[in-house]
Amino acid sequence: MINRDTMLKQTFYLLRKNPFITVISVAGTAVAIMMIMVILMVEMIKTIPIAPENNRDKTLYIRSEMYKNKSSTNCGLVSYKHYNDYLRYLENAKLKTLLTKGQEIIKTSSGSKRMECTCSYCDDNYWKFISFDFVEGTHFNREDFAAGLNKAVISQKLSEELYGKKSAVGKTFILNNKKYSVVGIVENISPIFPYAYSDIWIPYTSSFNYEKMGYSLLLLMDSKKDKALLTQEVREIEQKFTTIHEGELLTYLGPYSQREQVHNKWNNSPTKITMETIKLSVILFFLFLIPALNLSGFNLSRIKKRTEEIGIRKAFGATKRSIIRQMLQENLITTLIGGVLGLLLSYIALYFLRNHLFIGLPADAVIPLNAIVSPYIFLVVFLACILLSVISTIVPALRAAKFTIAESIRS
Amino acid sequence: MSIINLEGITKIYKTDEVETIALENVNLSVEKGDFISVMGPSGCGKSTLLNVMGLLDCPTKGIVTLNGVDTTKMKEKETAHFRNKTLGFVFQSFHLISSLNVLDNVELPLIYRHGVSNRTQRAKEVLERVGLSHRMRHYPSQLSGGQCQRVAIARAIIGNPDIILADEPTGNLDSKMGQEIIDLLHQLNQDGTTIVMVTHDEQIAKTTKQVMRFFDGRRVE
Ligand SMILES: Nc1ncnc2c1ncn2[C@@H]1O[C@H](COP(=O)(O)OP(=O)(O)OP(=O)(O)O)[C@@H](O)[C@H]1O
Ligand SMILES: [Mg+2]
Repeated sequence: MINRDTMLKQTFYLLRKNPFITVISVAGTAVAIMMIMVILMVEMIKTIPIAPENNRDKTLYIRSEMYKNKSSTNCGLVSYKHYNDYLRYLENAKLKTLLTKGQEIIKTSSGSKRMECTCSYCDDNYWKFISFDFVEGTHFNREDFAAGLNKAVISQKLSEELYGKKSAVGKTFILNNKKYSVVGIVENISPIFPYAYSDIWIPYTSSFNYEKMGYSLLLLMDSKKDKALLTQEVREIEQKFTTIHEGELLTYLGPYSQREQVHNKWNNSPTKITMETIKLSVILFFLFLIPALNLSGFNLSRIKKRTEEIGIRKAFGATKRSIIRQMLQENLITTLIGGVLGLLLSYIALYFLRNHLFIGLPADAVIPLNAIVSPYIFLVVFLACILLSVISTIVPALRAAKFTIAESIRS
Repeated sequence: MSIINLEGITKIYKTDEVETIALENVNLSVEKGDFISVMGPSGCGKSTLLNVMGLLDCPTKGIVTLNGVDTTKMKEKETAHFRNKTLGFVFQSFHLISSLNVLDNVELPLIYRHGVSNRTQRAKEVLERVGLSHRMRHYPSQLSGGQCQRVAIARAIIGNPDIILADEPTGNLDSKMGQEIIDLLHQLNQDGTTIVMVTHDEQIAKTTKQVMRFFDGRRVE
């Protein structure tokens, strides 16, 4: 009902007339939104499905096993032997992939260049878990993997370092004293994606000691509901193992969802992730409440100054409701300005603090833009602004609207 | 049927254990088309009377009937709509909204009314009528007192109210400016608007159709 143009005009007039108050309240909102968004975005980058790790929401992870016999206890990555004997028969997984990563020294065939790089040992299913963009060529296939061929996919960055601008497909390099030929080149991946990031990908079967290595097992589910089934299956495997191997114990940590494995819950209790959610919510709640209270005090004095105006508006027909709505709308404008600013600040903060926010991230890591510049993020900022402005305006507005008109006008 | 009817109106202000009786058992009625001056010494309750009459304040006791409607039974929202349709106010200190320009100030009553499409057009018309169409984009702080009061009158009449309540509309103006305002009010009255005006000026009061005198919260004439 209230004329939007007039309201906007008045809001901006007031903002201009009170620059100090405007700056403080916009800055307050911006800082609050920035802190909230940084925390949220870090959590999101680590956990939500984003290209190239598109299947995070449907992936389960088994990264560790504990093997115990009468004389010793062994903790480590999933052993190939146990995978081969048991886990590979998991029925409720749509797809399984076994992979491991290491730092390796590679050389060009001529020996002119030598460098250390990250090498992923994987199988052919791996390419279905992670969606890579191939610049050239393609990945090794099932037959290549089964035959243990020396075929490699490399990143664009490595390709340029090794072979310059020229096409790298068909070129070779030396790894572990074996000659690998390049079959595909993929676009560079940010190290933020622990399962996608690498410089080189080769079939683990091409490694002479792959049966002795430790791996992570990733399971793809049809739907999230299959997690319970898969967990059940893994527990059954553990029992079966003990029945077969008397006096020995095999325990897998997991299977974990993306969030569980990110938060490193190295035990089998499923409640821990709820704790993590509660922790996050409590932090966000306080990050929210403190500026909300601050702004509320601020709005109180701001709205108090307009008691006369409120009285006048009511004298000419404004209802209490329309007054409160006007205050909310006006405040929302300031808050949205602060929100946009806060979002920009959070991008800047994320960029400059990325090495602190993501532990173990190399200095040159890029943050995936598709994770932080998304309609979802904008929606979250918008909702946070609405919430912030409602919380910080409703009490002052109610207080200002409750006076009789005669009282308001006299003030 | 009288357009304004006050019945046994008493208004008591309670503040920090001090009770001020601002109005005591006031009865009065105003006929449609009347132009009434309310007079009396400072503090006798003239403003209080206008506030109660204009539904800007609730009486402690008594019934206010406007246009034949008992206003004491109305809900907040109804009162607001009623005020919007029936009443227009002019105050001694203008009470324009300083953060809105002249045009927006004048349009104010219409934004709280449903289904009004030609707000700006109507605001321009009433500003023309008070002789201020050349100051539409100015802010109140950029106008003289007389100009402000003319804007306030434009605002009071834009919604075509039946009643205009004016509390010392010339109180802050010099006599020439004051006379212009009074002339405007007379014009409005001739067009059929009922006016109740508080004034301290006997000369001005003389020009109106009826004078009501108050003393110490009571009507004396
Ligand atoms: N909000 C209030 N709280 C307490 N007392 C009040 C309040 N408003 C008015 N009064 C008192 O009520 C009495 C009447 O006040 P009112 O403003 O109606 O007088 P008035 O006739 O308009 O005076 P003036 O000519 O000076 O404007 C005065 O004694 C005043 O002190
Ligand atoms: Mg008075």
